[in-house]
Amino acid sequence: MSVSAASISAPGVQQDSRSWPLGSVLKTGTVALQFALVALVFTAVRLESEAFRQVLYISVAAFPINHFLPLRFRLPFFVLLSVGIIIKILGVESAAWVFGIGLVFIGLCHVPAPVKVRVGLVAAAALALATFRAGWVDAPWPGGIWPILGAMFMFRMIVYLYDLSHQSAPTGPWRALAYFFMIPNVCFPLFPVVDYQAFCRTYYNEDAYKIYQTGIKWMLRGALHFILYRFIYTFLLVGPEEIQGAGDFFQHMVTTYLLYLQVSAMFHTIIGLLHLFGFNLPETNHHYVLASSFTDFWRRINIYWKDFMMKVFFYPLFFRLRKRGTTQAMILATLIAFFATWFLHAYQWYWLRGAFLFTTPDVVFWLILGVLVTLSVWAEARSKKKVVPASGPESAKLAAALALKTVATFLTITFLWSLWTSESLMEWKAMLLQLRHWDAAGVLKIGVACAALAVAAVAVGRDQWMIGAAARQRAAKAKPFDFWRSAAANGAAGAFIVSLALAEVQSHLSPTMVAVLESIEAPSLNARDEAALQGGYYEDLIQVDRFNPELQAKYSRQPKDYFDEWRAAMNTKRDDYLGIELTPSAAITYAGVTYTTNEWGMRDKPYTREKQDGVCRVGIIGSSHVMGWGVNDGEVCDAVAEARLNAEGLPCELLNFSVNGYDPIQKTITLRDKMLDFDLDAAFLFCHRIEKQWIVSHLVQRVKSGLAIVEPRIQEVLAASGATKDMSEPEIKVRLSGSGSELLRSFTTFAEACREQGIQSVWIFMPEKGRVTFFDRDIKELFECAEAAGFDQILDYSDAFKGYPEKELAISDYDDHPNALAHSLLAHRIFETIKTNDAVFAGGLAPQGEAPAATLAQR
Amino acid sequence: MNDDAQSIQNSVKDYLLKTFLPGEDPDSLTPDTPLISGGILDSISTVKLVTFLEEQYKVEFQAHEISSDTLETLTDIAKTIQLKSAARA
Repeated sequence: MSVSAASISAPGVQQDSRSWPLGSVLKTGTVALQFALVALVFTAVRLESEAFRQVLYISVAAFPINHFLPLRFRLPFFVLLSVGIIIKILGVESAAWVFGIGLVFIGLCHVPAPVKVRVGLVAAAALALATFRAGWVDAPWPGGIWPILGAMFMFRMIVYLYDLSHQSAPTGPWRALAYFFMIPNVCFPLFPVVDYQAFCRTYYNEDAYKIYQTGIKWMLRGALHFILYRFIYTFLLVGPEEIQGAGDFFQHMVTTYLLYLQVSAMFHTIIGLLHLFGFNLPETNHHYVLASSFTDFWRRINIYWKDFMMKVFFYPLFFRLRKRGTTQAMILATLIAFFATWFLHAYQWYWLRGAFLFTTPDVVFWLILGVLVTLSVWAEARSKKKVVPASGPESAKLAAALALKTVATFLTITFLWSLWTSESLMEWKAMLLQLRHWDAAGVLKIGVACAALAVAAVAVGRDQWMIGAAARQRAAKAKPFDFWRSAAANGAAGAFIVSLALAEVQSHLSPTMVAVLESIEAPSLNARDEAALQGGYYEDLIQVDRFNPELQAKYSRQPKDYFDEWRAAMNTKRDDYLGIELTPSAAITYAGVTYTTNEWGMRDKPYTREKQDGVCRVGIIGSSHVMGWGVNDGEVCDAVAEARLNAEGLPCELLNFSVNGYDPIQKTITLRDKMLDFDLDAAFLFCHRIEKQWIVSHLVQRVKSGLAIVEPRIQEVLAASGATKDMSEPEIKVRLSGSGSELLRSFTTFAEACREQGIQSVWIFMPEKGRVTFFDRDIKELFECAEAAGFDQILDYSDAFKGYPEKELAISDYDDHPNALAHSLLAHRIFETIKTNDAVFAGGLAPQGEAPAATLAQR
Repeated sequence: MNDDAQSIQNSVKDYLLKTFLPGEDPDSLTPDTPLISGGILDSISTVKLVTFLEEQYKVEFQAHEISSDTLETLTDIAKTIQLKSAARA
């Protein structure tokens, strides 16, 4: 026989109350206030996308309406709200396609035919859709809907069909629509696999206020996870190219693993939001860092995925295989379930990204993890739990064992994670070579981290070693729900986070603390990501909109094929190390911005090679930021500074030689081959923090293409690294990355070339909006190299944007390049540098008429 | 609750305490203690419990019946066994 859900127990649905007693109104108002506070937290700290924050605001407004509606109208209201939100985020056309395709799939599940026929129909429709996704057939719908469509249907359709075929959950049009189109899926391509049975069973299945309070708590926990993620991502993450020794490798594997916090942040936020509409769904992640075995890790890291795999694969397989014996059936079912997990991750990648994920690290990772979990299952199936006294040596022994097991599991998982997130086995192998180098700092780092983890394991996981504690823990959970205490705790937590974002509060904090907070509030990614370092599977999935221009356009209004048209008009390819240059005498108006180059290929007005007497001339070289991507010709920092200098009677010409994407080697070549022909008095070399990553990235391409490297210092570095054309790109990258600051020796060439020509060399650090700089070891290294290079002057413009919110300084939501305001602030610093800095100009410029502009122009 | 349900609950409770919660205070395991969502039953212990129930009560489970609907509490387990026994009869 089959036991249906409905026949076993009816959920304890909250009574439909038509009257609104004062207490209920007060509680609902308090929940609404907390919900608004959560939205404020996400806004103040700029968590998640703008699209999601809009969803939050709408949800806050919709919450009391939903609550005060009679129960029978709430699910239809939730559906209408979800549909409205999808239309708002995707637009009418894309939303219509999502609904149309979705309704076809839901309809196929309900065709009056045997289950096998329905499964076949859905599979056939999915295959047809897959051909569109692969691009074999042109789809009539916008490409931006793919990740959202995939996120809504790729797994939930399997669960839905499974429950439908076993009649293990109630059905109906509102339930189906709510399940597939639920908020806030439209904002999250990576979405937890919500179980249909649980979705139906938990809907208002206990006190509504208790459900709401859980939702608020989880959303705040999600916000905290987001903040922790940003802190780790910004300040602690060590990229593969930065690993120099065992300590760095340990930090790399731990921080890469902890990036999963972004996933748990999203999942808590999503499920928390659903609680506010009555879906009392279970927890998504549970202290996964403290897993004490591989099965324990599997149970904690993504509970919804584990439940999905158990339901659809493990249990059916186990029941088919159990004639072979329970243990053997469990082992076989686990192995097959892990194979399915690997395949389904690749399948997920396909729908979200448009291509199957099939990399060696991915296969090896799942294979090893599958074997480890299977061994763990085998051990657990054989073991018997022992009675342990509450105190005494036995208990202490068990606590110690728990601590050791937790640390061992953590080290193994993070080690595997470093493999999984590597671009190739070669890159991982190259990283492992760094384990040969141990020093005291590295040992201390690893020791402190492991000791802290062991203490946390014993403190948090004490229910596993203290007798009766498990019961006490459950009893604590079973304590009568206290709404007001819960609201006070949530309110205090939310208010604390918001307060840290307030300028009034920050004015009382140390500059370091303020800088850290400002950095955490910054929504942009770190230097390594800007240098195209992709952090691994989950990061790629989360940033799927970054790799899908059409979806990104929906989220942030970025034009399709952004940059392509501009590049075609303004960049000319070269077959030497420079690779590209600005096309001479070109002009284009792109995205409302006018770009013009002069006859020499400068983003500037016309200049002659020879300067006029009495005029000082400064050559400026940088990348897209200084070139003025996103601002009009007259708004670029050098143009603004030049106009101001001349307006104040200081005859000066600032020639902008900057080209988008140039690294220090390209800038040095430009100085030598172009800038020095222009009768300069000084050369300003602008750098920002990803210079080394750019060099590595460009050098890998040049080495791989067999291009001769003419810069002698870089030739030496290349020779020392042993990188050759025959190696794989990851190997070349790792070898070059290991060269550290040697790669920045082109700074020395730049300074020497200036010295030989008798012109001043000035190295300037260019800030990226208001980002914190002093913790960043990339920046520290840049300054050290600049100082070693022998520049006449080293200037730090880090505080150029101080006091301005980041969003006021970028050209758009989707592009962090400085806008006209930011350029005017940079211009002010350039102006001040030229006008007042005697060290640079040996006395500074005298106003015209008072004295000849001798310092620069006549030297 | 009838006697059969009570005896099923008692029997299952004894099994759970002996197999998965040795040394636990028996009073802490109530008819409504969440077994799956509370973390007492994981996949392996669920499989062991189902095997016990099938042998003890001569009933048969199917894969899709392994869920919170059927095994979340002692009360749910007793109801499930009763339904299955009635269907068999």
